[in-house]
Amino acid sequence: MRTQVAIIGAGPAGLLLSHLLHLQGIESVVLETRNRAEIESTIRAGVLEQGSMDLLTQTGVGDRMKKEGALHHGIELAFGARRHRIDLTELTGSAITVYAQHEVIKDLVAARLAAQGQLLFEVSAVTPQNIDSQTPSVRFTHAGSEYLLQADFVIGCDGFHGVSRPLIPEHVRHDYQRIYPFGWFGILVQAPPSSEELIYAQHERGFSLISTRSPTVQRMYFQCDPKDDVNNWSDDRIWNELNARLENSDGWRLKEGKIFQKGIIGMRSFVTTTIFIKNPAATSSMAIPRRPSNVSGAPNTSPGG
Amino acid sequence: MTRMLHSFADASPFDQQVQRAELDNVINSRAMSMALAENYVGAF
Repeated sequence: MRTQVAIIGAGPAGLLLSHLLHLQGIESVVLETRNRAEIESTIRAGVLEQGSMDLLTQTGVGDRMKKEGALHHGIELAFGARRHRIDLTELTGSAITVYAQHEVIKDLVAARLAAQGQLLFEVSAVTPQNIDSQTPSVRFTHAGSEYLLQADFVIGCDGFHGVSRPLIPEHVRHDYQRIYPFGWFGILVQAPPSSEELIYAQHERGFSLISTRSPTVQRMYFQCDPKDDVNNWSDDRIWNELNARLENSDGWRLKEGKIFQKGIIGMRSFVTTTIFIKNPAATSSMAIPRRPSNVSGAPNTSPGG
Repeated sequence: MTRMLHSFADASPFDQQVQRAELDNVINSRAMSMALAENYVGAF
């Protein structure tokens, strides 16, 4: 098996790279350990920054984002019992779109498959080999058979827990990280939006975030002990906590509803450097796209969930 | 934003007042609002 670029991981980075390469006439194979239904339904970040919106639109995979995503021109900061609007578009000329990461993944998978792109799901034993040589390759198992995928480049888009990052030799690899002493308790709620824009609230009881997914599904978070257990939190206790943190003097009330998903997300900021290694005499390389992230995969600079 | 919006168990009363002052600055200063907004939309 041979391709120009072997991509490990069908997340947003791997799929988008495969799409961009295709537009340049470069062939790739994407290897993913999970199945399609799983990657298309796993809940991750929910906000796209302007640069991501532009790239998806410019490369022909932004139609559904534009139709179903919600364009937001501002956010609200809540503290001291008051809300204050930050007008993103007036201040920067840019905006954000609320459109879940797994929806982006659905769009990219559909685009790659429509273009006869090679995506292999449910592969296992993924092992990059000879990555600092002229003949790098990836060994893997798929549907019971073992394969060797030879490529000019091997790209690791398999994230913090993936097999790629540890392959960058330790003497050139530098990891920078901060593990926060708190987590985010996240819920999905069947309710109309409580606010037209996302609310980031500071309170002595801790941070909370009122985000949205659609006109009927809302995403909310509150800072919690990362070792806490979701079973300690009844629906009533969750609403009491959110209402306490969002107390205000302007008559605004959180719209409550049926909570149908609860989870605790650990928070970490992480950057690794030296993401590209190359045999000096060769064109073959291994690279890992660089992106600071937290455990949930949400953008570090805009934890908009 | 992370530091400005979360509660930290080891924050002193002084730290808490600084945090509140930073929030006040962000909403009152156009320069601070713009810095936060640029960071948020991924301008740089």
